[in-house]
Amino acid sequence: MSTKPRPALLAEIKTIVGEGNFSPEGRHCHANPSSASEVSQLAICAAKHQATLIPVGNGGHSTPTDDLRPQILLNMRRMHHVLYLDPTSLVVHAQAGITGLVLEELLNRRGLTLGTFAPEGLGSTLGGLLSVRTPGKSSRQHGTLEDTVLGVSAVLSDGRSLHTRVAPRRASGPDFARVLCGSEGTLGIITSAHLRVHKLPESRLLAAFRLPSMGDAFTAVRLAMREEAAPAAMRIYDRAEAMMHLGEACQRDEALLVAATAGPTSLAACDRDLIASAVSAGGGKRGRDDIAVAWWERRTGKSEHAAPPAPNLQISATPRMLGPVYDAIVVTCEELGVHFRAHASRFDRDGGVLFVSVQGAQGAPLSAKSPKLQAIEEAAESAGAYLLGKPNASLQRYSDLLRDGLDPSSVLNPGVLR
Amino acid sequence: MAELAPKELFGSLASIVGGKRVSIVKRDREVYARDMWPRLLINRRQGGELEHLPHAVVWPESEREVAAVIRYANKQGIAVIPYGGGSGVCGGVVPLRGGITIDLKRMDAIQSISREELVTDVQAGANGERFERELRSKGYTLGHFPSSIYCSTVGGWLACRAAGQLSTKYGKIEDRVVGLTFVTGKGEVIKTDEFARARRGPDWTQLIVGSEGCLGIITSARLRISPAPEITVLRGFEFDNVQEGTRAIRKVMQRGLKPAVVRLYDEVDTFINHISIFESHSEEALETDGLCPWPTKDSGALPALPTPGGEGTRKSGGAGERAMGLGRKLASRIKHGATAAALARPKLVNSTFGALANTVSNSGCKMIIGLEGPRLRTEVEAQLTFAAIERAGGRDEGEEPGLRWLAHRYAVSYKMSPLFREGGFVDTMEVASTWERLPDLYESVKAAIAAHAVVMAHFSHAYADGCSIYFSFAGRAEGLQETQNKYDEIWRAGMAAATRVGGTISHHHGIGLLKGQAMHTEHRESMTLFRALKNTFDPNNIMNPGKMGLPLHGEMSIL
Repeated sequence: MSTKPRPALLAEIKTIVGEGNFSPEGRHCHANPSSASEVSQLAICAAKHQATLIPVGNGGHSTPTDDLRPQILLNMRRMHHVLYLDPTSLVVHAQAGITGLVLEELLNRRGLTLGTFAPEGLGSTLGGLLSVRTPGKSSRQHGTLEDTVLGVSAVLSDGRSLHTRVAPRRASGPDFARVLCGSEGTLGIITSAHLRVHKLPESRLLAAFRLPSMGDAFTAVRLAMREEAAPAAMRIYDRAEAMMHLGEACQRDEALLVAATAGPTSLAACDRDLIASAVSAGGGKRGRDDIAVAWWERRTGKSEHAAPPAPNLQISATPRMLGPVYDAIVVTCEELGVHFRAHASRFDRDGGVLFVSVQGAQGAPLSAKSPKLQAIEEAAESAGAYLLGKPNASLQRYSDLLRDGLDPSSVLNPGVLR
Repeated sequence: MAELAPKELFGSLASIVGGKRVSIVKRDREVYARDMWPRLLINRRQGGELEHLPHAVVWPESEREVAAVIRYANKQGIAVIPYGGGSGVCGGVVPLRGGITIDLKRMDAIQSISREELVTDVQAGANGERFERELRSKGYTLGHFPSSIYCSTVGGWLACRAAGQLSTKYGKIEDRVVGLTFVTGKGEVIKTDEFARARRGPDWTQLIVGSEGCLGIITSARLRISPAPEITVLRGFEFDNVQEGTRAIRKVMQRGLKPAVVRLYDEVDTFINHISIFESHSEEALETDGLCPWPTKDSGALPALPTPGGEGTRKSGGAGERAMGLGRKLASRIKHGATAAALARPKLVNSTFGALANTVSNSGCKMIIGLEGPRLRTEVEAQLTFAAIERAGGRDEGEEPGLRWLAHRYAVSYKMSPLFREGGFVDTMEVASTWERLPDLYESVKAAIAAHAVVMAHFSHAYADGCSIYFSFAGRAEGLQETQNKYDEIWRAGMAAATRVGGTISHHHGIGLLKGQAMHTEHRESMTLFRALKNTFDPNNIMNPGKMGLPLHGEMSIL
């Protein structure tokens, strides 16, 4: 079988998306559809020509090494419209190609927001954000991004379009939108979604706290949440990370906790005070407000400081296990003679995420294949952490069966989730 | 299914669970042939025969036994129907192909409570009220209080995506679940309770919750719990009409406030509720009525909550009082003898009640709203909430209406019996939509039902983006066949009205047999996803076949 798209296939793609909206490139053909209908036609076209259909957001894609079929790379950037904004229900219907950041900006102009998600997590297209589940898009106040989904529209491998029912909650079967969210384009291509949006908060309060240790900081967060504090965002820095991110000096084991609470003023103040009480119970004290302001400006992209290098280890843990996992990383790094720094954020009812930067002796970040990094990952897992980005291995067989049922010819994004 | 030899079936099942936990006795099979679906109650009341019986009932005590029974059934092509408390109202447990009904109530252990993680592991057969009582004794709550709490199970809640009365704060059961242990239609045990947000791929828990036993059987669940509330604050408000009341709820929810409960009764429901305060239940009938038991006050089955004193907030004098008197008389006649006449003329009764409700000008629409949780935050949130309600036109009636609701909040489930006894029927239809579509949903469904039955509604289970409407209706016709026809027509019309305006056919009761056809109207091409899930977990279609719009026999084409 030829790996290059055949002329007949290219001609059909051109007919579907129009001149200028497709470009052959080796074994790929980039196609930029402008509607769900065109996506549907492309799916039919791919099946007919024994090609594969691979959704591409703003980023790259996975190419299966053992699949030699021609590939149609589906770039959704032309499907970037807000189709409807329902100001009564606070629901937006947007196409999959709009980026989270652009959508957020459009909403902000109307006094609305997707939620208190960190902008760094919203750079992808909406389709990409929903197709790939990561805990980077979660907050205590508004849950995860997929929690905001009321319904999705998608195209199946045979070109059929479907629209899951838009309702605040249903008891009419499983959550069909969740079949598609997280499926990474393997079960269907998301073409648009209805999302809950929120009014911009009436007020936002920022506060910083110092605690004797990272463990005390994790405990304070847990206690505050137990009292139902619902901050818009929280972050805990260890000493090295506090210096790197905020230029703030801490004592050897000290941790820095920054928090933003938002909503009606009295409720935002209440949430901030609940956090302060929890910090106090853990032997901590209030820090300077300008530290929290600096954090918030950095978080919202208003800081002039360059962003710190990306962490090379992201792990998630339940509220109780965050402390032990951090301690395990400390011990292991000391044993291995490597430097590390860490911060934790994305706290919600199920836990939080630790972002760890590990450097070798020369100060360079350890590569993903470094045995030392793998040893640290193993230590974290042994202490109760979950490494991000792995499929649920125990359900892989069912995942494959579901996929075979919906896409028997394996047309959709065959390179992932196998 | 091939013809089953009862003794052979008994022997095979006894080899798995032991002879004492299998029955092929007809009386047992009859008990497990139905749930609380009103259509079945009509049939039973009017002397109809049960059309479908399971061939056997088993009471497993472990996940291993459940899996073994299903493996056996799968091999033999025998249908399997899971059974919890039997409180479903959609016929979800009717054994359309006979088969084996698996009662999970012996699997009722609370396996763990994690104080630091605020999660609990509980088996599916745990009774709702006992489970909550156990959690409370340790200082926690699940926050899930369906009116069926005394006769429903954790597994049943998860199977049909149930909602409790305080769902506005705690969420529906799907919001409380972290993971599941689940036996597929092939008899394989899977666990979905890995730390889901760290994993790639779909959220399997949410693909199983709400599948009503059509994919397999949930045997245990990991659920989120909360510290038991330190305070509960309840308040009643009064609005001129439904539009003002729903607008107030929307404003509260969209401000980010989270009351535990909000219930807005439309004019007729407000009126009927008001009347019912002065009507005592007929305990005399209970002694002779074994079909729809109504727990007595001292039976221990109803909650021992404080009963508010006094006569309530009834206002007296003038046309309002006269109308109220007329209304009470009408309600009393319905209850005590003239049911047939009243329910046979639903349009007249609807218009009479509507007019009376309007005449009782100081009645309007009642709202119950309450908050609970830790003292400090709840007090702050309550102040903001009540102030917002007042600003939106609500007239504060103090805490009395809220306390009264709290005291009687489970009683509604036991009020059906008198109407069935009189040859009528009563049922509820719970639909939902976004706020934008809610007025259309309310008017359309109400009109559809009102053509055939006396109807009233309340709005509850509110969200920032929408709300559920709970319609209660009562009707009657001559003879079993006509009564069933009328009942079916109400549901056909109601479901069509709901889907036509973009609502969902069910907010928390589920689908079962009742709404199977409407599943296709609501989901259309999305049923493809359901069929794919069915083929993934239950390729031989043995799990609760014929429910939720899925086929009764044979294999399915997915695409």
